[in-house]
Amino acid sequence: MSDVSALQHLINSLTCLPSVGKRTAQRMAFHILENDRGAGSELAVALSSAIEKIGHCQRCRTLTENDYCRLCLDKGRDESQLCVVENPADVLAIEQAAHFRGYYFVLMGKLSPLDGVGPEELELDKLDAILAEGKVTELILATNPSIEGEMTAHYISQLAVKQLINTTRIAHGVPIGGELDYVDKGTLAHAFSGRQQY
Amino acid sequence: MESAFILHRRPYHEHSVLVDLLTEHSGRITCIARVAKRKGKIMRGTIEPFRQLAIEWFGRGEVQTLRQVEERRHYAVPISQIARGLYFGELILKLLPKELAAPEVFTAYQQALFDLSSNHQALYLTETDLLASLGLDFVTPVTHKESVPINAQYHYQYTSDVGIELATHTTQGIRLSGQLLLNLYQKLLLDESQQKQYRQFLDHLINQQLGGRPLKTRKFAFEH
Ligand SMILES: [Zn+2]
Repeated sequence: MSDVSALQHLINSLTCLPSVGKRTAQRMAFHILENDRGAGSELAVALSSAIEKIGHCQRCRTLTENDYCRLCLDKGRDESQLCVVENPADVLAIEQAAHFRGYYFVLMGKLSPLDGVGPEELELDKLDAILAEGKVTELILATNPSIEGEMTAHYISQLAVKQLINTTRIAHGVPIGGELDYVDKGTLAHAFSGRQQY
Repeated sequence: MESAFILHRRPYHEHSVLVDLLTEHSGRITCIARVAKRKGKIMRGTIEPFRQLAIEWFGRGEVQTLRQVEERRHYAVPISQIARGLYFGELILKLLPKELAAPEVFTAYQQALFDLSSNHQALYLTETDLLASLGLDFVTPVTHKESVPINAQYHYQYTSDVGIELATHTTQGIRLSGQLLLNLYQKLLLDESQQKQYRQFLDHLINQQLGGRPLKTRKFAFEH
């Protein structure tokens, strides 16, 4: 019966969301179908338009609807500092917690050779090109302190060394295996201001 | 509980990770671990390579379930050597079949982590021992079949059937100089050109064992 499979399809699709298991997905599906079909339609439209419109900033790789993101277009920021993070959520966390006025480069991941993620997948050539412009004097490595995060920081620091750019690493007040966007603001601000020569 | 090392782990749904482990007595296993950031559960930060863990797991089949994980020792692998550490792990992932008891591989990997964290200068010797534990044992003072002493002036070749034997120009084994072989046997430091020759030998040997399937970590471990 096709109506059953449409419901099942919806439930299965909802489980792709973080924190949503089978039971929650079921509750969500019934809620939309029984109580709030209008909001459901809106959600469907918002979802497909976001997927269609949102791409990556051509400079820093973060998510944006335009060619360049809001932060890259902000000429008031300090172009001598560039902060490398793993995810767009890390940018938000740092913007909220730290007094940082430089620009970002968002890796959208981290080096993970066993999973087939190398420098090409992270488009590190784009980062290299920004460094080659000669305006950055401090490259701040704010990748997570996981094995892969450390390896990524090391790899990127080598790029900076080639261009004679000073590299710093945020202090490890951040717990091992922790992720920047989960760490509380005080800790992150501390880690950021206490960054050290790499 | 049993001692184990994590060779690889990747996220699996939101709250779990899929982990490849090397255990001391039960060989290589794959487990799912439900992780959390709170005490009392398996802490996400514990499921990282380069730590010796004590684990408890249950279940049957391809993928089992980690019940408990305690950290016993943290090897402080220098950041510049992380890629090499992952490379050693990948050798085990690719060369050791699952669920084959291999305490000698466990010991060799433990030694490898110790060497990495103590800035050992001759990691090619570490790799040699690890490969030997995985069945690729070519370091010998005599040829394997005829038991003729290795001569520093000659060239030798290795095949998995015969092992080390005198090289001839017609056969297709991987060549190695007698001098290099003797140096390896005596665990002497290799000079730069010998190291280069040995790297080529190892790459060729591993490549042959894997039937051309590439090691994903190799480029990171040796080219950066
Ligand atoms: Zn941008």
